[in-house]
Amino acid sequence: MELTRLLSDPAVFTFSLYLMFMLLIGLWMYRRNESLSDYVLGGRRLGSWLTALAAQASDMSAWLLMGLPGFAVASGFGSIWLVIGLAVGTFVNWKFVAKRLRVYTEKLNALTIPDYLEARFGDNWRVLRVFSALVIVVFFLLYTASGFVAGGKLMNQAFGFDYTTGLYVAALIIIAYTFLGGFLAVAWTDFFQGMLMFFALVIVPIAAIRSIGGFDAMVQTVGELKPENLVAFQATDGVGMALVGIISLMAWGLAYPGLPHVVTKFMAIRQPDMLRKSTVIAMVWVLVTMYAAVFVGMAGLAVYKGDVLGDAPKIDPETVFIKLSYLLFDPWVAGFLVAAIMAAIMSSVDSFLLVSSSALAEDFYKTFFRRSATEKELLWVGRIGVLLIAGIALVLAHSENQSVFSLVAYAWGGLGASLGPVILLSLYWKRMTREGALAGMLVGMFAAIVLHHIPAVTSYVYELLPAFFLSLLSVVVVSKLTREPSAEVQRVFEEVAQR
Amino acid sequence: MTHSISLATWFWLIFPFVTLIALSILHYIQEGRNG
Repeated sequence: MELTRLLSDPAVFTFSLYLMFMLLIGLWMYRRNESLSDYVLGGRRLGSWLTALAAQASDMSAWLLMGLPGFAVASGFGSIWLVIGLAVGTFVNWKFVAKRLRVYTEKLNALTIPDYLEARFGDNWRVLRVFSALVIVVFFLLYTASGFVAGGKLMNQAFGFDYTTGLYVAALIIIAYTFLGGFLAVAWTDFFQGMLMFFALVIVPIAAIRSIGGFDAMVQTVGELKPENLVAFQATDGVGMALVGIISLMAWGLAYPGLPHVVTKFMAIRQPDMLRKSTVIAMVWVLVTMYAAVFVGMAGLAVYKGDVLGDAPKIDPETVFIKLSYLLFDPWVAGFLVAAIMAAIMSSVDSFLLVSSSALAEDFYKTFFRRSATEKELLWVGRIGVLLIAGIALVLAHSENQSVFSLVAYAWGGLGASLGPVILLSLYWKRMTREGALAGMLVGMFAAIVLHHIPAVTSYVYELLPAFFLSLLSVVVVSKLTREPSAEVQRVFEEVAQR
Repeated sequence: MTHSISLATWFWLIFPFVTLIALSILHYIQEGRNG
């Protein structure tokens, strides 16, 4: 019997325990939501630890435990540039975006990024709100769908569920706790999931390196299989190409200020000053986990050797974390380790759901249909929004559609280029105008999409890099050409800047 | 043939890690002084 097999598998048992725990958090937080502000921002009462881990766990999806180790199998220490780029981007976001955005959004009473942009520029056309909310809903729908696909595939590979069953089990749990508990459930589950990801990523490479006879033995084996993997600066195609490649990898970090599922976590901390402690926690978390993931890939290559190399490898390099967990640990422990991948998926998807449902409730429903809606009503619109977005995403994910994945490839670039420069400059440049913000969003968005389809560009550089700077440039040029912001907008800016 | 990790690679592995942790601790101290 299929069901008996699953129930008697210790790894499935520990994995299910973990899923139950996430559901309990959702139930526990249900009663603590009384308004939309509670539901989408936890009533701004998170502590330093919760904020730090919620932001980082939302940022890092299954990519951290599957994609990055897979990349490290192929590129070895050459993957360090991607890690450095993302870590620098994360640091800049915590240092320069977090506190200002927290202070500014509270001052303007803004719950969402579209809400903030409208209030920041005194935009009575509402065009900033509508456009940014649309960008968020569309991209996050794709992101959510891809998260569901990843969840279904993981349940299939790790436990032998069929894809569709796995997909529904994964989706149901995420939807349930997000629907019930809103932001607080998302933040608390993210906190535990972040902890789980951290410990799983630290112990797997340590155990793997020990099993092959230590660090030097790993270096020898990797050196024999792929000597270039031991070098960070891989100048096989010449120094110039190596530099372009490095800059391209590091450019991934530019997206951070434009990722709403990350920056909304900054807005939810109790006191702006508490962010300084979160910065240290977040940086330690992100650096340790990403370095660990690189070593998972290095160790994975040393353990599985030729099986993970070549065009059609026997073992998919992206699954080395799962394979090593089962190889090196008791099934009871392996269940928890594999749960860390589920944790990475769930902690991102819950935030996608919440950010897009808040755009539906706050930026569409409240703004255009019911200006006088009560808090209780908006709270339920938010909940229904979660179901709606999740439902559409499930339909997209159901066919295990590859096009979903390929669309997501530029969701990161699209969001980063359209919202990143606009959010960043809006916090630091008093002279920035509404027209400048709109131009930046439009140019960033279209540049990211158009450049993605020009092979002459993408074969050299990740499209986010030129798109980001084109967007930045258009904000500056259009702002300079248009009338300066009203005295009131400038006064609020100065008050925030003085904090 | 024995393989080893070059000094330059060790540098790129360790330097960004240490620098970013140091910068975030510095940020913690500075913000504490201001606030």
